Amino acid sequence: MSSADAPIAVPAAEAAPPASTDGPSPRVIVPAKRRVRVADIWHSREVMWIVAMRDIKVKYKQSALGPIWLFLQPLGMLVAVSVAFSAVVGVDTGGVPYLLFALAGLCVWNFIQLVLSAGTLVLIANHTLIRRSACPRIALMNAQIASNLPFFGVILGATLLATLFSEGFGLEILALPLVVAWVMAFTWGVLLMSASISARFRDSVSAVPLVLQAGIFLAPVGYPADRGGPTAEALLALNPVTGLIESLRWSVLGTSVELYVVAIALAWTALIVVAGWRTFGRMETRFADFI
Amino acid sequence: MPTSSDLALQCEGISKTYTLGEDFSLQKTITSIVGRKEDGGDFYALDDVSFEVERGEVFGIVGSNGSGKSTLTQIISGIAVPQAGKATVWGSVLPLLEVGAGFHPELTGRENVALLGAVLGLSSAQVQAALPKILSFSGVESHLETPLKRYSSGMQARLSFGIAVSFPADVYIFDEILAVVDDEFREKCAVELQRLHAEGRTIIFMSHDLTLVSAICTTGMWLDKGVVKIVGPMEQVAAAYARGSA
Repeated sequence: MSSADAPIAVPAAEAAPPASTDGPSPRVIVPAKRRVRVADIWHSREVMWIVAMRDIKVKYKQSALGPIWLFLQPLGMLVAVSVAFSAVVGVDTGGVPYLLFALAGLCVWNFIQLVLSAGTLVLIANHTLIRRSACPRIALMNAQIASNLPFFGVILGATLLATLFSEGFGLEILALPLVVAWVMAFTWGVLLMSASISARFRDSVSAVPLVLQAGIFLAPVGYPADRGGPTAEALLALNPVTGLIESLRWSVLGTSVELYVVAIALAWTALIVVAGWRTFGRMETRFADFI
Repeated sequence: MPTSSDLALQCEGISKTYTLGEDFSLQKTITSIVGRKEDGGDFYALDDVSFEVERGEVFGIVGSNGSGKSTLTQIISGIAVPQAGKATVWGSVLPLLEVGAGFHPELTGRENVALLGAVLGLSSAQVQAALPKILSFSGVESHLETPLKRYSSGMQARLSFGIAVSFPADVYIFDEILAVVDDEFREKCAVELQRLHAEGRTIIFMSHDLTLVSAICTTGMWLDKGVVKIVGPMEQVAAAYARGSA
């Protein structure tokens, strides 16, 4: 094909070329295995906020109770967990009021669950944006975290208020921002992985709800991690969410936490964030082809 | 040869393949474990496509369904990446590849305009500046605060098109979108395209409707099964396409 050399008619009116200095800057598109950069997380923040706002608005449209569900959802879970683990099983929380204990657990767990259950489907739900616009894909991911922050804020706020008026805080509370950031980073890493994989393999659409449903029993949401003895505790520690929940409880309620549990969870988080980012970057260029 | 500063778009040897058949299924998983390799094979959506579009030009791409027009727009717009070749775009690209693409049915008209603006990389100030024009063009002012799902399909199309011609960009791409609107509205769209052209914007217009493309475009290209048949003045391209051979 000699198409590039084919003569192109120039309309007379446009024959005068504009000065090359005021021409727009070129953007080059070439075959690439990955194109997204870490800086894009920051550069796409406006899109992230507007998509997050969209998701928040849409969630409560045509809903009679609207944002009241922000409070009803954790309340319902709190009742269920309390009945199951406190009233029926009768777990010992080492002197911490059970409601506070469960609230702190649910704070971490429900956030992870909310982000991942909707977030795994984010590319499928936004397939027209993916196929028909150059919408930064990382912004869609980050928006999943951002749009669930109000929920996280409500339940963390409730936990903090209840603790403030009953037990009071220790110095550990100063570490709370770090623990919250840790929860966010972990959830983000898992989200990147599960959502990216779902674009190619719909298996994660089935696998993630299973993991989330089974997970509430395999993480110390409603019971303390050391309840089943050292062996059970070591097994539980393999679940990275165990370290997250125990650390949040330590920070807010001053409960004890095994260092090795925290170390395992930190190692998991580092691994998952790196693997999630790499998986996302590798698959992101072909989302529009796969969806 | 024009120098690169006169160009809006340059495509050099762009190729892209897709795999035929379903990507994954239990049957495929089992046969691959057993060791029998079943491959649907690849087909070329674009095969060594090269052409240039000068700045300020109205460039038409004709071709029947499945000729690779949509894949080409996806690559130029930065949505998909090619497997081979290189595309260079000077300035910002605003693609309208499908009427209503990116709209959310539960959001109001205003919210949708803001959402699409952000997705296309505009600042909220730019979106606000374009809003009066979008409204006067699409005539949906009375429905601005109404969820999009209450709009008729004609209103959605008008809003979609209003956004596409009102947001600022250097290169506009319209893929087969005038096929869905009535004659009166098509006239209105043609006027807007003329205005963008007069402002010196580059317009890439894709269709299999030869009369429409011939009326609007000065130069063009015929794409057939992913292969460039001819690039040049629109009359020549149209004649070749109508003849069925380059």
